[in-house]
Amino acid sequence: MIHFDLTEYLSAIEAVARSVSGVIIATGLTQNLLYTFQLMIAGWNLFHRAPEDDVQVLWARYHGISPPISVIVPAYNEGPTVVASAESLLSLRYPNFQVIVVNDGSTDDTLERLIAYFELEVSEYAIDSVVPCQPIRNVWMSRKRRNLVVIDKDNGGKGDALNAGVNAAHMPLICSIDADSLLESDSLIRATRPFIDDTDGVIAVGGTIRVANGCVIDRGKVVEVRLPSRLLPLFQTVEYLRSFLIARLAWSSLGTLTLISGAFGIFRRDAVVAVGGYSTDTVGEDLELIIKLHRYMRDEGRHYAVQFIPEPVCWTEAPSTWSGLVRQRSRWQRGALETFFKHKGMLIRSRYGRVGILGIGQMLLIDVIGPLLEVVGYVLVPTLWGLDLLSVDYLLAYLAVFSVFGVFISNGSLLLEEAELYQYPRAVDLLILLAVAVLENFGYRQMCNVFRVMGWWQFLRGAGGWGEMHRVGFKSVAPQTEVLSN
Amino acid sequence: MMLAMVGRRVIHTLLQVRRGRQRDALLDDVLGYLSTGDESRIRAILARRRNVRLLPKILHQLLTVVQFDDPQPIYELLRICSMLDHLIRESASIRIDRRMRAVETLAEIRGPEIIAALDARIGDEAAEVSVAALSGLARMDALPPFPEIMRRLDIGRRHSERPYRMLFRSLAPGRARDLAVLLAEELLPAARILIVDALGECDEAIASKTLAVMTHDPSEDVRAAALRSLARLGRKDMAAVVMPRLADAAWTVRAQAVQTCAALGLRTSIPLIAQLLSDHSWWVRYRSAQALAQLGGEKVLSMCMAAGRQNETIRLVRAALYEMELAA
Repeated sequence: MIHFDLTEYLSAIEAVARSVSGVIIATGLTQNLLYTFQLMIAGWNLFHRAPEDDVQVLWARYHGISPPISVIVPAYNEGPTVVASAESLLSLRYPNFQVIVVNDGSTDDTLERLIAYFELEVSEYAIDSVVPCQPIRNVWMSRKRRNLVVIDKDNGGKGDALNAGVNAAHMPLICSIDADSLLESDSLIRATRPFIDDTDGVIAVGGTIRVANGCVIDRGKVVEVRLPSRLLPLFQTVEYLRSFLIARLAWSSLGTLTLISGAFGIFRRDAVVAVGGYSTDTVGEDLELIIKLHRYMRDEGRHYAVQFIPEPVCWTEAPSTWSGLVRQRSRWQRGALETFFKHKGMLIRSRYGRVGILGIGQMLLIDVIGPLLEVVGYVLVPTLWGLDLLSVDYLLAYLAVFSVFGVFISNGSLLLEEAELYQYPRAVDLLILLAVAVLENFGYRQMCNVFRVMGWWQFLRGAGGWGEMHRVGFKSVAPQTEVLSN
Repeated sequence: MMLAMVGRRVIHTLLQVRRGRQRDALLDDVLGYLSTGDESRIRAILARRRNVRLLPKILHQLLTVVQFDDPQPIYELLRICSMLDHLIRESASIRIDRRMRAVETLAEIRGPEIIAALDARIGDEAAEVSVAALSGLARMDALPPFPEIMRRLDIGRRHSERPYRMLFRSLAPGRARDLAVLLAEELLPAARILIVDALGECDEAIASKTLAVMTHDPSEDVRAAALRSLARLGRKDMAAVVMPRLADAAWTVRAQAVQTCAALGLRTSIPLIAQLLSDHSWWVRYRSAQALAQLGGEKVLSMCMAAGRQNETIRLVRAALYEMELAA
């Protein structure tokens, strides 16, 4: 007769519950330690960073020595905003640059609007087809705007469009920017300084991405910085500060920056060509490019730097609906996973140094394992506590690690931004952001992790594509005036 | 902490408004003194002691946008307000932004004590500080000898050459011999590029002779820089120096040689450049098409078609002709 000891059975289950919960909490704690480490490094960097001079001073110092840039704008169904976007880019304050708009087989009137507004004509244009891309149908140029080139090509996705732009670029530096992004007029001259200071070393520079929702826009320029009026973009404002500004500044100063946002990044064209351009088999082509660059340069044993500097600012429209946010976050997660598994061989290999340990390591923790464990914990820990299989200490520890600590990190990021960068001029904006920094950790962050798990699921199923984002466009306060030709 | 941040913001905003008013008043007095020499303006500045500390910043902003023929009044203003020593101390600050502003301001005025302060900033860890210091010393005719400048700048190791390019170009005229002598020393390629680039501003015969020699430099970047400088000099008699570089082993040098031939209007190079339309480097082919369009015009297209050139070559030539048409 087999004795079935219920007490022992329950003890075993409790032990398993404690172990699993312990692993989840330990992972969360490790993440938090990493975020704290980022905050400290970013804080150190910002405090020791010299405040940037105004654009007149920068122009006087650098305009004679700034390298030429090709600004590449991939556009797919950007009809409502593409003209304003192109016009805004053409008015950037920089000595020598060209703007290449790549119409990636749009099905709306993106190309037609550009042709009509800029009086484009089919032209001969020399293209160096060094990286693969879908066939180019025509190249359009304008007699009014000699530094504007519009490429019309078959649809191939964002990476493919960028590759077409790389092929068409005649300048030694390329700047990739989203069609819905707004660059400040001095962004280019600020962002190219690292390339001047270290001509042979720096291969990529990223700038700050900020949420444009709620800002006052006039003729493609942010003229007044305001906070979004809706809660979802407000959460993203704080999140962008934490992730896009603080985290990237920290990793950049350690030489382990693994992501320059596709919304705004400047690269040496020859470096991008050397790694075969942007990959078209991933939705995280921006992340994958940086990892490829790290890998290539370290394999070649060459001195290089990938930098992030906070001063050049790019404003972008954040999703203002939950459906838009779901699509964006699940896509980002898919991109991160595709890139990680493609380059997992770099993980903790001596040849890749700090990039392999810190850079790829933090991807493993935060992008691969983190969302899964955290979401499992959302259900598991409270359930186990409810079933009396876990003490309240575990529940409190879980809440502390996954919610309360996040408040500290978010507020810390705000504090740094307030102390050093001072982007939001009104005190009431700061008050709102402080409140949002608390709130985002009780609901918003958890939902974002659920969306990331959805991204995991899509990755496992092999789903592809970007999905649709409904663009509301930027509201202008002043009517668009006719642009005088140069 | 949150309340402290908000409180700090409110105080900061109020202080900014007040400082803005102080700056405006100070700027008004400074401009009044500099334009009319009215000494009552200096008394007004000194009467508001707090404003005096803003004087260096105001002057720095003013000097960015205004070129003063005679900087003596600025020197006097700083001396009377006891800010000259402050500026000189700031030029050695550990903060780059303060050093930069101080050096840029000092570089615009003259004085014996200023020369020593600027000299100390040659080879500063921040290249732009070093550039500003050298510019100022050049204006005061107090530049150290070139060999010493190069030694202290350590181009290629501590600094890249690019930040110094415009400065050296402005210093080069009349100093070709000094620059040429430097090239005899063992310098890193980046340093040689800087000198070779600067020689492109010198009319003296020694400049073009030196550049001719540098077109045989072991470094391809230096060879390309020498060709660029020859293009800027516009010396058509350098054809015998430039044209052999059309067959250089490095594609960057061949591409630059093509551009230099076009810039110098060397029609005798057309057959050689036409051969480069089949070069394995796209950039050489592209520059060749541009050069032929510039040297031969529309005739080039018919020449290529008659020669049975590949479609890609025809496209490149058409693109070059279109670019010329747009630029016209």
